Amino acid sequence: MSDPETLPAGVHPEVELLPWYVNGSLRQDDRQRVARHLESCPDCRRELDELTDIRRSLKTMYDAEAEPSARLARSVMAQVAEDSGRRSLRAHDRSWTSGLDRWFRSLLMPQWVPTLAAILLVFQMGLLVWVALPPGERGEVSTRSLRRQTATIKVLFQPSATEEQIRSLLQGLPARVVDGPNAEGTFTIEVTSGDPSASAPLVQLRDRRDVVRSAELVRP
Amino acid sequence: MDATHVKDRSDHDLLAAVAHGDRSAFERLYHSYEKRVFQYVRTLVADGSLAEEIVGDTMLAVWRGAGTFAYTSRVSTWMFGIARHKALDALRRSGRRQREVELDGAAELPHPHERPDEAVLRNQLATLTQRAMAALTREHQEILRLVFYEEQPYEEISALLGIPTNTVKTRVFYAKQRLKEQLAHLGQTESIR
Repeated sequence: MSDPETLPAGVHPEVELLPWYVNGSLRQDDRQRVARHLESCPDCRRELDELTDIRRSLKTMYDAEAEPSARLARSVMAQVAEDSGRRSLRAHDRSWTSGLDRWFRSLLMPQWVPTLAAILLVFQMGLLVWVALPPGERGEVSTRSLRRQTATIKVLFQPSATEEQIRSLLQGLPARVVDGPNAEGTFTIEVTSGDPSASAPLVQLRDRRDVVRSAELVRP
Repeated sequence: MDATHVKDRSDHDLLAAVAHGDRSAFERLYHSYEKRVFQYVRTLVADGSLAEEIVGDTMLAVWRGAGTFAYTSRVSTWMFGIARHKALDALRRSGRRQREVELDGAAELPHPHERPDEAVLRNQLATLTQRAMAALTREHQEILRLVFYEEQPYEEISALLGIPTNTVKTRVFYAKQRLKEQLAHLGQTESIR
């Protein structure tokens, strides 16, 4: 059964505030208003006395009520300790990852952007220059995509030349046989040379008359 | 500044420390409120072991949720609110309805420096009040406790119970009327015996 929303007829409105006048939590202005009313109203003073007695009785009753068991406090404190340990671990994990995160983010701060862009440009330029350089100028390191420059020469060996003489000559150039002999007995050899006319290998070949009858550059 | 304001500020400071994981602050807050929350919950569920369970859950919620406290009310209102929510939820889950207040355990502790006749009178009065309170509805018991034992302002009670301040005032008025009637009835019964 719910209570009426209003006080019974004839009850002074100050009565509504008396419980909080008794418990001491009334605001100063309300407190003064109630105090002034009480000076001139015996009915409300009687109500105040009853409320004061009820407050005293309830305090006595609740003060004497049973307390929770000591086990409750121990159980709660144990769970809090466990919680606290987990919280510390999470905080440690967070501090490590957030430190890394902060470091990466600091690199993206506006004042670092021109520096990072310049470093990236220099790196790209260096890469382009390195790729464009001829293989000889890059030392022994060769790229995957560019072939060494070669020249093709048609050579007719002396019939008297031995296989060992021919091999020794080709290794000295250096050169390798890529085709032949054809019907005329001519071999096609490939020599490595930065010079497209392959003049030096040609001179070396022609100088060996004991082994080579003729040597002609094949124009690509 | 009165004692209530000093206590409010102290509770706020403690709760702020709890929000930063200070376990010793939590222990102080716990011991300051354990009995009050337990008795308040027992007013609602009338079952000591269930009340303990709810107090444990409430205190852990305070430990874990201290950072969410908005500092717009008393800490006690916030804690009682959590406890109340959990108690009503437990009642709904278990399908329990209002029970009679347990009568055991009351009026047993002697007060220091009290004469024997005073102790007898006090025990009689406490027992009588307890029996009169037990005859009231849960809402009336709850609001009388909040006003006269917890000494909560009506604005805080309004926030805690989620009802308008005018309803708080009239509910206290009628609860006091019912308690007075019950006390008178029990007084007559006792005198007949």
